[in-house]
Amino acid sequence: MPIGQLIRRNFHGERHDNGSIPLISVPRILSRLAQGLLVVFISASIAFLLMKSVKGDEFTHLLESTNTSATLIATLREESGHNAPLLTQYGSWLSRVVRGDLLPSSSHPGDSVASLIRSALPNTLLLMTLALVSSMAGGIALGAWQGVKAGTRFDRASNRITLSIISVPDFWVAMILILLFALHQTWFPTGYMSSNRSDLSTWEMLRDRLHHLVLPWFSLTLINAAAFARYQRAAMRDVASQHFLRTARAKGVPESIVIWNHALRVAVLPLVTIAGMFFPALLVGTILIEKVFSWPGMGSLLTKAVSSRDYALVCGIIIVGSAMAALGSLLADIGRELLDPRLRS
Amino acid sequence: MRRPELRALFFRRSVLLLWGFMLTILVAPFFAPHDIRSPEQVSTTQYQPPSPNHVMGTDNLDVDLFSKVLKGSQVSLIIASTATAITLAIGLAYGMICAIAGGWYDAVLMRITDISFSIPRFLILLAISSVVTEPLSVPQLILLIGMTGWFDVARITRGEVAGLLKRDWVLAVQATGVGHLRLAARHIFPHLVPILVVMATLGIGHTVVLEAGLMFLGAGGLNGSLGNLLQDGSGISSMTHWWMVFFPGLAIVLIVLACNALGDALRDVFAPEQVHAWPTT
Amino acid sequence: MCSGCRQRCQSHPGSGADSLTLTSYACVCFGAIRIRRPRITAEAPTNIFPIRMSFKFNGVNMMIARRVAVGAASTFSRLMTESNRAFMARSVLATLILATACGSDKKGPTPRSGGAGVGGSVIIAEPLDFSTFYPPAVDNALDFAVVNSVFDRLADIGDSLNTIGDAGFVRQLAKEWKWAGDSLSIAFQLDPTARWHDGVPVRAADVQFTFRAYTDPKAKGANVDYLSNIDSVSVPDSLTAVVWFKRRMPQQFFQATYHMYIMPEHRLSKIPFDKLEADSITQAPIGSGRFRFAKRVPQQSVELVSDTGNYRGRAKLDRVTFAISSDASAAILSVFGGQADFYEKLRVEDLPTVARTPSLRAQAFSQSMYAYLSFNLRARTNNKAPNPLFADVNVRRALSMAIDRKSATRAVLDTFGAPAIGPSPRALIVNASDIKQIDYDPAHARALLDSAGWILPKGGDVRLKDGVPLSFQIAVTSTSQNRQTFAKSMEGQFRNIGVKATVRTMEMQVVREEVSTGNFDTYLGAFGVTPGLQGLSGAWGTRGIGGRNFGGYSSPAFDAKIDSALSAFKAPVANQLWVHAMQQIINDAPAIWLFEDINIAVINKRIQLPPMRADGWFAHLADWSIDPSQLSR
Repeated sequence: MPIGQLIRRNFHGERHDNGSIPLISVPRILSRLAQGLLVVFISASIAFLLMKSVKGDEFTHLLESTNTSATLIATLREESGHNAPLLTQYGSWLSRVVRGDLLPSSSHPGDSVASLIRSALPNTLLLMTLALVSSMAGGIALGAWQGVKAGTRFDRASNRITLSIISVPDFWVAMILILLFALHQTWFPTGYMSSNRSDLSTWEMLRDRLHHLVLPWFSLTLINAAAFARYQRAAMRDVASQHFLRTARAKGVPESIVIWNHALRVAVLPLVTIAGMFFPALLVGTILIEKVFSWPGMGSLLTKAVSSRDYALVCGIIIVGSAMAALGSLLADIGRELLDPRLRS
Repeated sequence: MRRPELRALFFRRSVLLLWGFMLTILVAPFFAPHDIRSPEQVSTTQYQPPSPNHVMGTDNLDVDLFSKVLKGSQVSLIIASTATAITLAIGLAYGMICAIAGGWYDAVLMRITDISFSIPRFLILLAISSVVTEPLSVPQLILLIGMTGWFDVARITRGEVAGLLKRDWVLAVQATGVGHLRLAARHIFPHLVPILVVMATLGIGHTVVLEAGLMFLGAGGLNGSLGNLLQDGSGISSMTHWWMVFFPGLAIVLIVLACNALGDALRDVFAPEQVHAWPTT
Repeated sequence: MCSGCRQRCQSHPGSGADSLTLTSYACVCFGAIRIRRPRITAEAPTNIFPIRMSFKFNGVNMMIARRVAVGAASTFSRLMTESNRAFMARSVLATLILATACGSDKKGPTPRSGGAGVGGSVIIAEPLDFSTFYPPAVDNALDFAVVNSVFDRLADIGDSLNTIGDAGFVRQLAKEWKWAGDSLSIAFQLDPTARWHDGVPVRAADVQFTFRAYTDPKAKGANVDYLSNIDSVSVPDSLTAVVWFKRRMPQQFFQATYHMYIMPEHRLSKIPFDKLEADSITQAPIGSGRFRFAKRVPQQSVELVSDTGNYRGRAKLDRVTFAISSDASAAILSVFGGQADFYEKLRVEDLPTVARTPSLRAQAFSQSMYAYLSFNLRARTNNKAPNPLFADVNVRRALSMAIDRKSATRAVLDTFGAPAIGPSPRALIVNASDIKQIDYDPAHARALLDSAGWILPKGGDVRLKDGVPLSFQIAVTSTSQNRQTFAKSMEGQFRNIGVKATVRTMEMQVVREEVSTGNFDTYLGAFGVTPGLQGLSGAWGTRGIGGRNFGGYSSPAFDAKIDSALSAFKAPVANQLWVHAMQQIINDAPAIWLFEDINIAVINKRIQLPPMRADGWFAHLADWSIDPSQLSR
């Protein structure tokens, strides 16, 4: 399928007729933004519904563990609005979400959901962005190289290798890596984000952090890089037959510049869109890997919240997670707008 | 088979091998060497490493891991294939309705799908599993996974059907006055089969990994699937007994590899470029 | 050391968190690779190049290492001929990676003078995050570890854990105490040099405030029934606190001192009692103990530092860090990997790995606890009605007979445990052999079930009575692998007599919630027993219903026997009464008494510990020290 037509699809997958006016960028970005907000809104609503469907609420435990009287609990419920009609509760829930002031977490009595997420989010973002950048870089490079060497044994062999790699669950890779490199050979730590020591100088602390980053980052990168490589390879194959490359070659442009400047520039474009769609997958992978490595991020928080039935925290994380996914695709879209001159008005 | 590429495909060694393995899995638990239920007499040995008697070792109650892996593969495959079937059914129907209806309905319904597609499926599944009081049984799990995964299928189906609807022969068929349902079932559906087959094979692979991830976090019930085995391997045995982690994961890898290899090859033959080779949620 | 290499690859021995060692060291210099040959330190007190784990120094390994080095060097020299940019990029990258992997020059605070073994820090792995540091609300061992180190009691129990009278008790906040003539009150004289961590002196008003906080109805009340014999605390002058009792009991002194960690009144009295628990986790708790609370990173760590200038002397360690992992297995792994120095609960199957690791050792210590399978005697849906499955005592006895406790304990715990003799560790019951246990007898169990009306249908596995199958769930927490394994082995043994049991593992909080609301069939739990067996009435007495008596077992005979045993002043009389009480509850079989285990802790060899007390490994945390020869920071 020629690449030209590939990129003229809009996000519905519809094909544009050739010769139509290129899409104007700003309204498209705005509509994407609106769509992202809608996504977050719907996630908040789903979270609300889930919380309401649970039998009992944050006051149930009071009834059993202490001798608080039933009337006192009824008063508390009344005060916090549990007896209000559903729509009113929904409205107040939404206003809480917007303000960022969610209900207190039941598994962490002292901390509010917002503060827990605030302390966990940067750790997850660190891991995710590093993994995304390196997997994109590695995948694009590998895919481009495969495109250069299309049809050779290297191409076929690495295709098989990438196919095998994307068949592996990332958390299993993480566990195997721990077994091999953290237990059998103690080159890397088995988990945590840092070695929890306060007496290190800044340089040593940075090195400590990097040391703890290696295994989680690698397990996340490996599979995503293979996936990107496969997409890139397909894209390169499409570009390879394009006329403009033939022209460049006829002009006498050296082959490496033909590939790396001309072809790659065009072939990278669908990858940027795909990167936006990769964000949810990366998020899921990060959640699983955080559990394996005891990495103190949103994933560990979510895992513990799910198993201890801390609904307020689960809801908070769902909302933040959807916001992150929506933001990821929005950024990818903006990236596409910037990179593809054909889409600029 | 009509296309020479298909014929060549099915004789590829790797594909044959892998699918032979999958079929073996489906029937193997009936020939498993050991009983996988907890022993009635307490055994004095646990966690035996792989040996000729126990090819994959034993777990903390001296239950043979190989038999557990066979059973687990069967459970995982059943869950994955049934959930994928549900996904395809819903997505196919939805996509066809959207494309045939066209116009305003189409735009709205597709917008809903796009937005639903953007919500991280895994998170929602985790949240739902935290809300239920009893651990999820296998049918509940299948339903949940099936009902959250059809958005992508709908989008692709709709794209294909919309393209098909512009073709001349479809206009000709419509001119004969055939109703929408007959049009969809008799004329359009056969053209969708290849793409559905590709999505089915790839989908089974994705679902196995998704379900394994869910189980690993403790979101599903104790149904003995490969994800459960991985959870045990990382939990109770704390990875100092490497076979508890290695072999269930290896089984997952082989299953997903089989699905991906076949799906990839089919994709090369039929060239549906919108189908993603990688799970996006 | 490589010439021209900027980093000295050096690491400090065995110290958990910083042992970033490789089995062979490579310093990447711009142009060459040389492999350093590591030096062996078995027990030798050197500071450089310890050996980790399984690298053995035989000829084959060194040959392989040399070949690898040569291959790497030749590859590297080949790389040098490529374009300059690529080369620089590659070597910088390689340096970064290997420099990260190599050790680093550590400059911690200089070791303090002031006695042998003072200084150093320890990292303790924990599988859970902390929930509270508010002493009245603390009820799990993890929070206790911190509270016990940061706060003080009036007097601490002695190592012999004697609870009768005041023999063996060690002075903490109270310098001395005086019994009243009628023994209905004790006057505690506080140590005038005792200070809170913010500098304010400790006064008797703090003791009074503490008592009020512990007994306030809005407090969580985990310890309220322990203080039931105390009437009030009065403050005749600023350094004297008088504790008034309701009646004379042999364990009065223990009751007055053990359960209350004294809290600062000047800081906490302004906050209403029900907000104090939340406040404790957000604000650093201020206590008077030998450790002070340094900082908490949510989900990651809690740090305690030594309180230099403490009235009882500073803690020997400079710093103790609790590092939080996702679960127990991750915590164990972190000790094996060197990121932590101590974990309190090793499983038996991990012992071979400890044996293979030269820097770790395992230490067993008894831990006053027992595990049990408690039957819910009340119906799940309606806690006034009896449970259709377990109401019949014969059914319960039959289920007890179905479990081969000795073999199961042997299988799960190896020699580090024993079958339980009842709701108490055997160490606390003298003449435990006089108690007649329910023995393993599956044939008798089947007969009992048949006569109780639970018949096995033809071809079926599960017994039925009036169409109701004898099938139930076993709820277990996910934190204890021993209990999980035991539960799974019980599944099989119950199947043997036609009973279907399903194990359900849940997080501790969830289990606690389900079990305290009566929403369970059976619960495999464990109780840590406070010295003196005072908690027995709270666990299995009528008074404990709604509290820790989850199953709802109520027997006036048992209650009476416990009360009389607790009130007996003469030891032989008390022992006899305890045996009677045990026999009563064993006959009634409200639970199956499974096992008591000896804890195995995995400890980094450089830590020297005093003997561990059975009521908590953390009891003498302030006296832990680092082997001076391995003290590096």
